[in-house]
Amino acid sequence: MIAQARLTPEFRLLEQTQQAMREAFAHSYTVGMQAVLDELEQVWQECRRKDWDGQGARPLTGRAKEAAIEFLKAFPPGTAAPEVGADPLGYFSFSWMPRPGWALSVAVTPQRELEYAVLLGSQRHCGRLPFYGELPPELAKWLEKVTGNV
Amino acid sequence: MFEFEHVPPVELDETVARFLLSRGQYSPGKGRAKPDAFLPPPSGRLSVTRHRQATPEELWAEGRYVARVRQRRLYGRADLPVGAAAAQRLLVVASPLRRTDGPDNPNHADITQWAPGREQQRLQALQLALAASLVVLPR
Repeated sequence: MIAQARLTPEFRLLEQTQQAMREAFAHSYTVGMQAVLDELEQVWQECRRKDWDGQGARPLTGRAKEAAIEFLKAFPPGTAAPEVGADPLGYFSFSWMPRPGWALSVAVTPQRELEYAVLLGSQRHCGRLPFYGELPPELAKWLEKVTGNV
Repeated sequence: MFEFEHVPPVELDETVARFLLSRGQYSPGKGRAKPDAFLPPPSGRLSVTRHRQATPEELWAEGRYVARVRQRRLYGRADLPVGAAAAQRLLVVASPLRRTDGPDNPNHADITQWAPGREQQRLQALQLALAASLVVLPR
């Protein structure tokens, strides 16, 4: 009976949906929070001293780290987990690159400014936004378009 | 590698390597470089090494040397077509390195002429990251 049910298109669709949900859940920010914080810590350890890139990079300070963590806490549950990077100007940055041509990169300055660049296929946008502890609506809009889930 | 006295200008069909010396510059799980790997340093000259006339062993030897001097770990390199940089209105210029304390790098080049604002530079770096190929250091 079960073997017969597995052959139906409905059952296959249900299986595919469950698999997609499991994958989305595993990569969601809520579940992946610790992994993102671990990556942030590793990047901080590597880039906290002056000239960490050998080309005059500025260090990631404790203040930059605090601002970055505050930014991470501003994401609503279910946000896709970002990748953590370090800007040579001394900022943490977060990027989402889910598929070719679609990507968002946001740097959090120690002065709590968000510097972003977004690619939406053939469209490109970039700018700066103030950060007051909540995800600015404009940035949330870009993030939703790039990842499809905020 | 080139002969130091005969270094040709960089051509559009060349490939350049950006050595990855921080975990924050690449994503091993997703097999690609992060935009931060291509953000220009305060000098505005992003250091790369040209593939042209270089063997893979010579490229890795240069990466290992750079990592050793900077007391960093070499994770890999991001290979970037020069045409992708040109598409962002960036200029890749030959900048051979003569070293007194190590091997010369006649294949060294700089990516220059970045857009004026950091957010515009981030947009350029994002597009370079998407165009680049990650090559992890072989064990």
